[in-house]
Amino acid sequence: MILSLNELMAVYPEQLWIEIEPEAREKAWQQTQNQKYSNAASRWNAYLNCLCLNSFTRWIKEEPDLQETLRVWPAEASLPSIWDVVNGTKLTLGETELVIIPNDKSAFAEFRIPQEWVDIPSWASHYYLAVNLNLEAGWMRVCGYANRERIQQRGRCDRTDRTYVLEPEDLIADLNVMWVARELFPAKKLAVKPLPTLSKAQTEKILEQLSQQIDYSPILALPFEQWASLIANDKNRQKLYQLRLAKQNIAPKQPTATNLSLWLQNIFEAGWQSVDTILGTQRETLAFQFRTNAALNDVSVKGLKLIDLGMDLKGNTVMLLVGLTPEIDEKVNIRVQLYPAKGESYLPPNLKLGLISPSGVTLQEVESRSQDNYIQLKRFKSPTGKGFSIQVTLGDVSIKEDFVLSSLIG
Amino acid sequence: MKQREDIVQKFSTFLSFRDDDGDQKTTWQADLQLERHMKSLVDSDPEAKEEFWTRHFLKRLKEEYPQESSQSMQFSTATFKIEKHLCAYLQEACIWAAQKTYQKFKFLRHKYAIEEYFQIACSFANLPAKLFKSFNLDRPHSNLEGYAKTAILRFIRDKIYQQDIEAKRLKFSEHGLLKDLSNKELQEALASKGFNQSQIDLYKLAWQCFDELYQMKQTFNNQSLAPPNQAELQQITAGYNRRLKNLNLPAPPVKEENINTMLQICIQAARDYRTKNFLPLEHCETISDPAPTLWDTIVQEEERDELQLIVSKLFDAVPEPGQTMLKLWLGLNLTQTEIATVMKNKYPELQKQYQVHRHLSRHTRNLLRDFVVEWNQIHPEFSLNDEGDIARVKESFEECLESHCQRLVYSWLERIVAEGSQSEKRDNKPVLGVDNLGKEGKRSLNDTLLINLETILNISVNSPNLFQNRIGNIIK
Repeated sequence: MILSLNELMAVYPEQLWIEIEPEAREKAWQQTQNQKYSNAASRWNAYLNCLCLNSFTRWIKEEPDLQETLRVWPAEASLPSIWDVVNGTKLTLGETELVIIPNDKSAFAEFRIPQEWVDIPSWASHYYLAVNLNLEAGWMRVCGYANRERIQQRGRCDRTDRTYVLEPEDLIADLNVMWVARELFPAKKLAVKPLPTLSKAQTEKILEQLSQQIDYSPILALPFEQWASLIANDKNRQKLYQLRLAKQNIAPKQPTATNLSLWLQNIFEAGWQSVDTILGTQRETLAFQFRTNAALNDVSVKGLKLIDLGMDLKGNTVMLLVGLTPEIDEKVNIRVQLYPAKGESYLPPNLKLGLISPSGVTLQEVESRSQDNYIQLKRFKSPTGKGFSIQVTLGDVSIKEDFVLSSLIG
Repeated sequence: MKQREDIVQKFSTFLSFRDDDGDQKTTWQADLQLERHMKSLVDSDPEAKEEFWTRHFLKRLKEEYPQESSQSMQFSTATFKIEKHLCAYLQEACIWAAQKTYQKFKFLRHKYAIEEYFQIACSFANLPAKLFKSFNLDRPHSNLEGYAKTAILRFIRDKIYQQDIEAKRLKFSEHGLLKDLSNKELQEALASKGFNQSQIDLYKLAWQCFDELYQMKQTFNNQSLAPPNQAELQQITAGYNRRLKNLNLPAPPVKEENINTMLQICIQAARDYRTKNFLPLEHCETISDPAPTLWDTIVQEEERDELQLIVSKLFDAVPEPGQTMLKLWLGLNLTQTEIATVMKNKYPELQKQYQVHRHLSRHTRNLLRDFVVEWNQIHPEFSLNDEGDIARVKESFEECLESHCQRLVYSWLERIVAEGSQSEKRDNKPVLGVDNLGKEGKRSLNDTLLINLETILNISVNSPNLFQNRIGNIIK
């Protein structure tokens, strides 16, 4: 049994549940791809936070009783420098300060709050929300919240990752209590112990030290107070972020080709989803119905990506579907189709789908007519070790996806 | 089910389910050893009441399990006996929670039988030290049975969700599972393998480095995560050795092979821990039982009526669709999906379950707010001043709201039944009492109810089956 979102909502009616649609996931992924991070863990952290922030903001906006505007603290532009080293996002709503802290483990066994959010005077907030994300099933929930007082009373400090740990039972599960409290009672003043100030020479030395090793989090390299006073300062935190990026020596990232060989091991890169997963979780909501299409039934692996052609207000999203069937001769049989996005019956007319060789030659192309449910390329084979590209064009907007079949299977 | 009357029985018999030619029967089975022990206890103090014995056992149990180190159990036969007595005592709370959950979770696609819920409940009742972990014995008025019931209800719910997660994890690869573990789950799994805390700390550090450094190759789903390759292992090892130094942990640096072994041990511990079907009780959301406040004493006494009065007054001020929704939800026990089915014609904003969920949450929030305001006006001397206070009154408030909605529903039903009998009299049909309804009678009663509900709720009942079930339950 896998509980659906509706079932979960009814089992835990006091918690806040928000559906996360594939489009929202894709959008957050693109947002974080356009920012720079010093390593893969930071990037993943940024992605979770971004997705969580977007979904929560959208939910708040739809709440008619909340008059104030939700703002990102200190400013949206500061987020990458924070997410590069710390999990969590601080928001303000009028006088109220809250931190949302996501995690994507399937069991919510405990609430781990990075020490920075509690012990840095300017970072400390009134409320801390525990958010549990299930990317695969497409939802997030606020498992509950704690105020700063509660964390200080009940939180156990885990020094191995510098977090305060609360048991689920220490949280208030119903966010309504928080909304009512902030409406009726003035926000309490937070009393946070000030941090020592760092001298200029100290700061320089620390920055140098911390930007040496960038493939993992630097937080344990210094005593907490030094670390905290460094990143509490916006300028120094930005500097640290820049130094770490410089170390990484990143040229603007080239979009990499999607490795189809991984699909055959059931591993899908970001942006791509296994059709089985999608159909498993969202059968009702998707417009496409592969069962009508006998041609795809013998395909062993199917991957799907949402492509945003959003050049006009209609925000044309289409779904690119790639199906693979391994053949005996080490080649792979490939089927490429294009479907309208969720809720639409037809593709926009004059949409082109093309197959392009590594040298840039268009090998085949189809174009949609006025009422096409989908279009597809003729089946083709690709030898392992070789690449190809698929191009989707509408008017003067065109999006190219590169693919490669590595020969290193297994 | 027969209620147990006798004190000895209450602390020495267990409920068992028997299949009698397809007919479910429950019987109380005595544990002879417990029975003898309880008899001798009762003989020694014939005046003592049930409540006294429960508290007595609980007190002794708490002495055996010092608050913090409930992990390391010193097993004595005496402790074991006390646990069994308490477990026997909790049987009614267990069956109550099982039945309540069964009613509440009928909408789940995967149906659990009452027996299954009961079993889950008993697995918790078997560990009374955990169950009553946050129960405050020092308060003479704290309601032990009520506490147990709520704790068991929450335990069953969390257990079901946990089973759902475990079912999904069965399909995970070794490293996919490792990546999905939480710090706490790993801690428990390793502890159950008999490692001491300083060993566990090292394993957890290795796992922490793995969790951070081994990012899924940007996939959204880490179910089928492959093992790290040599380069990745090197990175994890370097991270581990550095942190060992940063944290001043008394252990020598390691090589890649060691890290690999450590991760394998973590995986094995996690797998064994799950297959053992060990109940990680820490996961259960026990209700905290904070120190008594003025508020608690108030609610215990005659003020309950006043609470109820405030709630019903505030309820009348809720806008129309909100009242209807709350009546359907709390009074008739409809699920949120069912509420959407019933209401969407008249209220197009209530098409989907999540919309109902949201509206209900909004209405209860506003009610809760108005309640706090009203209370503080009436009782400035016991005013509610912060969210801790609100959290404490919330449960009583919700109980009042629920019973208010139920009372509303019951009173319509009574009225409708009464009017139905009246009209039948006029039509020279047999008089129908609720007690002896024939098939015919039930049908016509249901019809009448439906028509009247439409008028009362002011919505068209387009799915009569929904109501028939619920009304059937209430009439029963």
